[in-house]
Parts: sequence; C-alpha cells; structure tokens
Amino acid sequence: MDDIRTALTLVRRELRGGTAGFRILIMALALGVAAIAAVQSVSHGLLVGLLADGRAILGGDLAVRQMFRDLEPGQLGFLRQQGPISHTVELRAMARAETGDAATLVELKAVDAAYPLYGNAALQSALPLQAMIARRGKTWGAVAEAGLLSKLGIAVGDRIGIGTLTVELRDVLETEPDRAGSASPIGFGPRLMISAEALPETGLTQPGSLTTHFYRLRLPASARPDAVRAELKATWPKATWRILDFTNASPSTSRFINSLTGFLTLIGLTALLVGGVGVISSVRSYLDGKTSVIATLKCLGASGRIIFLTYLFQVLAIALVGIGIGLAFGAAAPPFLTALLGKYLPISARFSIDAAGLSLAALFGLATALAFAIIPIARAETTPPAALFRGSTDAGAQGKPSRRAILLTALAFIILSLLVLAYSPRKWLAIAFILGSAAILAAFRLAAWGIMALAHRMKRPRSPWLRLAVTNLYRPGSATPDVIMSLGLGLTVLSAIALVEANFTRQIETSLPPTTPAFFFLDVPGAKIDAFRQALAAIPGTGTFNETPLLQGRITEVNGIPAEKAARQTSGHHWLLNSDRGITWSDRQPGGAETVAGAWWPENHAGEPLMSVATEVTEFFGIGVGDSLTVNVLGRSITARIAHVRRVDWSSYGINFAMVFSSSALAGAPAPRLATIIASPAAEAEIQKTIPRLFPEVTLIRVKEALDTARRILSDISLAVRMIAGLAIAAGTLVLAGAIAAGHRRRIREAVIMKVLGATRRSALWGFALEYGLLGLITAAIACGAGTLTAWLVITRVLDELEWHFLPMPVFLTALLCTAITLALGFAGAWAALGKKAAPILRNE
Amino acid sequence: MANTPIVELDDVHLKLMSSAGPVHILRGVSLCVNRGETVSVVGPSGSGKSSMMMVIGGLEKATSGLVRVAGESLAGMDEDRLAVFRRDHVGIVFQNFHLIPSMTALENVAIPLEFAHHPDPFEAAAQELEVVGLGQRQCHYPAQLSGGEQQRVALARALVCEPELLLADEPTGNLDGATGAHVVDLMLGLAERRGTALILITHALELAARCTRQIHLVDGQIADG
Repeated sequence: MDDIRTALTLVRRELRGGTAGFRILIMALALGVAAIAAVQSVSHGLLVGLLADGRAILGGDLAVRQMFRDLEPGQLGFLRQQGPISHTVELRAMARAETGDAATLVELKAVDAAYPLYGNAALQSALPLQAMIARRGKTWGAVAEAGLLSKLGIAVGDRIGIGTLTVELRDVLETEPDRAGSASPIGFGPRLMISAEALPETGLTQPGSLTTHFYRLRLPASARPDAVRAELKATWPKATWRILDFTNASPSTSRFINSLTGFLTLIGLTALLVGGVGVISSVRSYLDGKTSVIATLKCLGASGRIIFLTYLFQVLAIALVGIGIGLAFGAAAPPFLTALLGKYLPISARFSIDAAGLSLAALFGLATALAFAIIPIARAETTPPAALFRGSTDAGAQGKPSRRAILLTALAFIILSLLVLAYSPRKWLAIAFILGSAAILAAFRLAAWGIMALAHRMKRPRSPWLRLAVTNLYRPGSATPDVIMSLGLGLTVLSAIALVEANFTRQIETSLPPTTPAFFFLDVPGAKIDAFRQALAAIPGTGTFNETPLLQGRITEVNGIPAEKAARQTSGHHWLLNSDRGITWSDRQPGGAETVAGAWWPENHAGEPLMSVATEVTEFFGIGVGDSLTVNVLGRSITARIAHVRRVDWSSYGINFAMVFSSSALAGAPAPRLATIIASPAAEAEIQKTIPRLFPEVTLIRVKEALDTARRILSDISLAVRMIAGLAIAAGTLVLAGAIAAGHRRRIREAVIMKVLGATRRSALWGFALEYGLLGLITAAIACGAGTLTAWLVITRVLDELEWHFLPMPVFLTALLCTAITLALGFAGAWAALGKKAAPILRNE
Repeated sequence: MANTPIVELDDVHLKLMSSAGPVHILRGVSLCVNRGETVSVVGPSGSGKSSMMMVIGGLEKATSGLVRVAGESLAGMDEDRLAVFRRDHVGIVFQNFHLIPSMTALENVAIPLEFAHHPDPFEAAAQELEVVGLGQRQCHYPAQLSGGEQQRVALARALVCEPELLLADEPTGNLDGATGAHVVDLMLGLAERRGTALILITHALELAARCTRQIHLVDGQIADG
C-alpha cells in the first residue's frame, strides 16, 4: 500500500510535465477506441430505433407471416378473437406504363382497409392512403415510391398495368411504416401499393405464386404477444408460418445490424491493436529518456516495484486521456455513418449515449493499453542504479522483464480475447480474429527480426547512403519493428479487404459464363408455357430456353424426426430450416451439377416418391442416399426417399434446386413455371418491352439488374468497412510517425555529421529516402503477403462458394500506399533534420 | 608556400540569438594562419574558441567580417557549397568524436572519400587506419572501441582526404592523460608530415605549447598571438 502511495506521489510529479512524449499513445488509442465506440453507438442507435418503432415496423403487436396462401379459416378466426387485424399480401410483379413500352419490376403490396394498424403511410399529397387506393368508378387507385415514376417515365394521374389489372397512380408513397418488417426490406424494385380487394383482379395470385401474406394484430393493452404466440404454436404445431412480435419486428434487419456491427468492431479492434504497437513504442521511447531518472530514484532507495507502479499508473492515466478522447469522437460519429448506411436500413436511428457500447470500447482500450505497456515498463524497472556511474544511461543497461510482468501481460491479452469472444455475435469469427491477429502480430515481429538479422549479415553496400539505410534497419533502437508492426497490421487488413472485395466484384462482373440467362421469369402459368416459349423464340437474338415447375416447400421431418432436431447445428446451412425453399420435379438430371452419390431415377419412374438433393442438404442433416425427407408443399406433406445427391455449381446462375422430386411425387400439383432464357443485349431490351404486355402475370427478373443491385449494396457496405479499416491505417501512420519522431534526434545528429564531412542536402535526403523506402517496401511486401493469405482464407474457407483469384491491382495499390506513407513521413523527418544548423547540435553534444 | 595563408579572418563578429536575447560571441577577431602552421587556441570557457573554429569550418556563419579559407571566401556559400568546401579542404576532429554508431571504423573513415567519389575509398580508408594504428580494428563498431581508439578513428576520418586544414576542438577533452597525449602526438606528427595546417582548441596549456603559435581568446577577442 505504501508503495502504491509513493508511486502515486511520483506519478503526480511526473505528470507535471504534461503529456509530452505521449501524444502518439494518446492519439493511437483515441483512434482505435473512437472506431469501436462509433460502430457501437451507431448500432445502438439503430437497434434502439428498431425497438422503439417496433410496432410501426411490424405493423402490429404481433404478425403472422405465411408464404403462398391465406390462413385457414380456423386460424384466421383465432386471430380475429385477439383484436383488430390487418391483412396484406406482398409479391413481385411487373408494372407497365399504359402508354409506351416501359415496364419494370415492382415490389407489389396489397393492403386491406385496416392497414396500417400502427404508424402512418405518408403520401406526397398528405391525403389518407385508403382514399387514394380505393376504387373510383371502375378504376382502382395505387400509390408508388418515386422510383417507379422515374423508371416508367410517368406522373401521378397516369395509368399503369399490373398483371391483368390497370390502376391509376394517384400519389407518391413517401413513408411506408412497416417497410423494414416487410418481405423485402431492401427490394429489387420500387414499392407499388394497391388495395387488397384489387389484388385478385391482377391475376397474379395463382396457386403456387410467390406471395407473402402478413396478418398483423393490434392486441389489447392487457394481452401479451408471447402468450398469443405460444397459443398459436400449440394449436397449430405443424404450421409453416412465422410469428413475429414488436420486440423483434425485423429479425433480418437486426441480424444485418448485429453482423455488420460485429464485423466492423473487429476491424476497429485492428485499429486498436495497431494503437497497441504505438503504446509499446511510445512507452519505450519515453522510458528510454527516463533511464537516468530511474537509476537516480533507485540510488535513492526506490524499489523496482515502486518504479513499475509509478510508470504503470502514469501510462494508465495517459491512456485514459486517449480513451476519453476516443469515446467523445465515437459517441459523436453516428450521424455520419448513418448517412452512409441509412438507405439500406429502412428504420430511423435514435441516437443517445450508449453507455454499454462506450464502456465496451473503453474496456477494449484499457486492456490494449495494459497488454502493450507492461513489458516496456517492466524492462525499465530493471534499470541498474550503477548505470549512472558507468555513464551508460541508455536502454541497453536494462534487463529482461520479470515473470510477474510477463504473466500480467498474458492476463491482459486473455482479458482482451475474452472481451472479443464475449462480445462478437459469431464465435468462429471472434476465434479466427484472435488467432489471426496473434499469428499476424507474431509474423510481423518475426519478420522484423528476420529483416534485422538479414540486414546485419548482408554484404555492406558500396554506397554510403545505402549502407547507412541498411545499417539503420538493424541498429539498436531501430524503427524497423515498430514500422513493420504498426503500418503492416493496418495494411494487411486493408489489402485483405481490397482483395476480398475485388474477388466479389470479379465474381459478379466477369464470371458470368456465356450460358448465363438474361432473364428469370417467375409465375409463368403452366397452361401458357408453350405460348410463352413461342413468344420468346419469335424475338431475334434469343437463345436457349429452360423451364421447370416451381413450388416452394419447407423441410419438416428427416427420417420421421422433426427437422429442427435432426439438424447438425454446427453446419452453416440454416437457410434450409428458416424458410421455404424452391422445389421442382423432373425426370431428367439438371445440368450444372455433378452426381456425388446414388443414381437418378428412370424417366418414367412411377413408384415411390424419390428425390435428389444438393450436398448442402446431406451435410446439414448428416444424411445420404436411402434416407427420407418430409417436405410441406402448399400445406401438404410429401415424404420422399433420397435417391441421388448432387454437388451444385450455384454460380452458373442456371436453374437448380436443393431438392428435385421425381414426377411421381409432385406431378399434378398446380405449379407455375420458372423459366430462363439466354439473350443478346438487343433481345433483352425487346423481351423487357414485349413480354410484360403479352404475359402481364409473369414477373421478369433481369440478371444484370439484380447483379447491379447486389454490387451497389456490396460497394456501399465495403465503403463502411474501408472507412473503419482506414482508421487502422491512420493509427498505423500515427505510430509510424511516432517511430520516426523517436529517431529524429539520431537522424539530426547523423545529418549534421554527414554535412560536416561534406555531404550535400540532396544526397543526405536521398539517403534517408532510401532508409524509409526500404522499410516501406519491406513492410508492403509482408503486409501484402499476409493480406493475400487472409483474403485467400476468407474466400476459400469462410466463403467456400467463391473461386479465388489473385488480383495484383489491389495489392499493388496497397504496396504503393505503404511505401508512399513511409517515404512521405521519412522525407518530412529528414527534411526537418537537414534544416537544422550544425553548430548548435555540435555544441550541445 | 609556407607563408601563404590558409585561414584569414578579418574583423569577424558572431552574434547568436538565445532565449535571453542576442549573445555577442566573437567581437572583431582577426587572424591569419599560414599553410602548414600549427596554432593552438586557448582561453576560458565561453571565450568563443569553438565558435571561432566553427566559423572557420563553415559550420557557423559570421555575422560580419571576412572569412577566407584556402583562398575562398565563405561568405556567399550556401550550405551545400560549404559541405563540398569542407570535403575538399577541411578536416575536423571533435571532443565527442561524432562517429556514426551504425558503421564500422573502416566505413566511418571511408565516408568522406565516398562523398568525394574516390575511386577506392575503402583501400584508402584502411591505409589511414593503419597510419593511426588501428589496422586491426577496421571491422569494429564505435561502441566496441575505447575512447582513445574512437578519437583515432575520428582523426583518420578527418585526415583521409588530405585536407589543407585540420580543425581540432578539444580532441583530448574526453580522454585520459596518457591516451590524450598519444592522440595529440599522432595528430601533430601527421599534420607536420603532410604539411597540414592545424588549429587546435584546448584547455591544456602544455598541449597548446606544442604548437608553433598560441592564441589567447578572451571574451570573443584575441588577447595576444
């Protein structure tokens, strides 16, 4: 206790000198903490908004969502007993301008008279929604998002065709309160809203059409949504509906926010780890200058423990300043990040101080400061008092850190790892991050040692400047380890992100095989399929046409066991359980897949129902040929035996299904057709013009447009990722600047000696440029190597559906950035050093 | 030749700015040193000895007055021109040696030759180290050498380009008596053999007495000499 009191007294005196010498530590920690605090604050604001607006987003206190069909009368009756109810139907359809050829995909929503139960559907005219979509005379009304008007080149008052119905566009929809809780929160097309009474007249709701029904309930204040949910589940245990309540109104949005938050936090943590390298170099550099003070204190009777505590407290106090600045910036950042991502989050954020998120960021900062500061402090603690008498008050007089310090450091790293694990929504990602960071930090440390050893052993270059550059790489107190670790870590992340993103983009842009269809056609009526085929064939430039029946089904049992229990929870294909999957039947094996086990059934097989499944299904349930699956199709349970297992190349964009049944299992079901066609660009335009008029009930999805949407979303999300990764680079640059500043005195001295011996400024500048150019190039090479390895692991192991391509441009740009940063800072340092007059330096030596 | 001047100072003033205001360090110094001459400069601390040496070496610019070294006026030279001037005409030995710690003894000595684009700098540097008695220590780093050895490396470095003028600022200030005497013997011997003029700044009067001329500097002015 006395030691602590003494240490605190000494800290107070040491801090009189202010925070000079610790600016890099403060800024590096502030950047890392700000990154994490900003991500946490944005996420918190969005999730609070999601919860606060839960009823409006869901459109009720409770919602039942069912695909393809209405609820049964008994189910509907039960819901009506609970309180007022609103029924809406969502589907994709084509909207056509009445005049001209324009047609576009829309997200159609048919709403009943009770809609919306909560919130307000705001129209441009500020008139009530129901009045605008009601029938006037013989004409139904509609409202649409502004995007539809521009896509079709129409104005309010014009008429548009949807399926077999013509509606009058009466207003522009500005706010749809429950968009985030709808079937497609982002959507491939603009929203078009009509009355539920008008929907049957469109002819779009044939059996098997891809419709999503929502039944939203307003419950009395005394009723509890979870009790209603439980009763629904108990009464209809086999129902395939999904029940949502206002406390989790948009699970997909929450999942998106949580996943992105977790991912961005890990990238923010990289910035903090880079800051950790800054902590090491700042503390070491500061304590190197304190060697004589420490030796003096020891001469005067201070124990090693007092020295250790004094500087530990001092560093912690300084770290708290950095953490405080980081928290302030992080808490103030949300409006900026929301502006970027807000368009994909159809909810309004509610910003407030997120105490939990800020505490987490502070804890990360504190644990990082401790993890990286203890070793240099412990080394300084070993400074012998005799250093004063020998005149060797440099850091070389210090010994190895104590076992206690090593244990404390290990403990701090364990706490940091536990924090990452406890916080991260995906444990495997957290573990991969911890192991990856440790491996990369170790690799950079080893690389630094390797480079120093190599530079030490290599033949001395003839040029004195090159020789100076090489020797500066390994001399005691060299900036090599700090530069390589700090800038290298940030650049590894940046190059990995750039490569992953480039691989994604390449996948989307260039990997489309010539057999990729131009369009997918949904809901082609089975009875019209021949006419449809002929209509397409009549358009010049169209190629191969494929069609198959399309139904949706949900796996309910595996070998008679409920599917949830049969699933292997460790495997990642939960989509097999969470929603209905497209299914079809066929007598012939589809292309784009290879047989893994079993055999396809004979063409005229009429016996027991058989099925072929994709390897994702067999892996997820741990089953194979001979096992049976029960699938609920349009309310009917169909059990079939697995006869064939396929490995599907999903990237071929062909028609392929996880489950294909034998005709004997499903033939006769009222299935609309899914069709595709290959077409030249000219033919694509003609198809878009012609087909919606000839077959108004058919929905066209243009592959290029869908990919463009995916690419746009990907590009904006990756911008957010890069912004946070940019903070890691900024932290790295700061630490690098710190490392260069630490060597500034030495550089000035060398520059002065060189000038005394006859060196001109230009040649001296060349020498320093060489030193930092070498260091930058070496760091770039390692960072690009580590980044490429990380990206390769992500692409081939984490996202194993993707094909890996090494793309030199992102790597080259990263290398260029790295070399440019080091050179620029090196030049700045050298320029300042060369500007110094020789005489004062020589006088003071 | 012996009577041609290598250093000519005429009414040289040096004023430096300090936080407490301007400090008048040299107050009208006039001095002529001939080629091959050895001159010692003595005087109390703060009398301007090192400053005068720095002005002669082009490390400090005189506030006023004429400074000619090796026939060239230093007044109009920029920093780079001064660097080249030192490379070609002047060798300097410091009290603190000022060797580059990351370079071996051989490399330290070779640097000025390399700056002067000497065809074989390492051969010449090795010979110079032999001359100062460190032929066996070529691959040692400054930290691996004793103070006396470091100063001998500094001497070799100062003389390797065979300058016409050697400036030595208290070269024995950081050495013990015997080692200092050895370095001075070497320095004076080499200067004499090569006809190099030497300006030696020292506090040691017996050392100063070994030069052909002594100058007393007091309060920025030459008291006699």
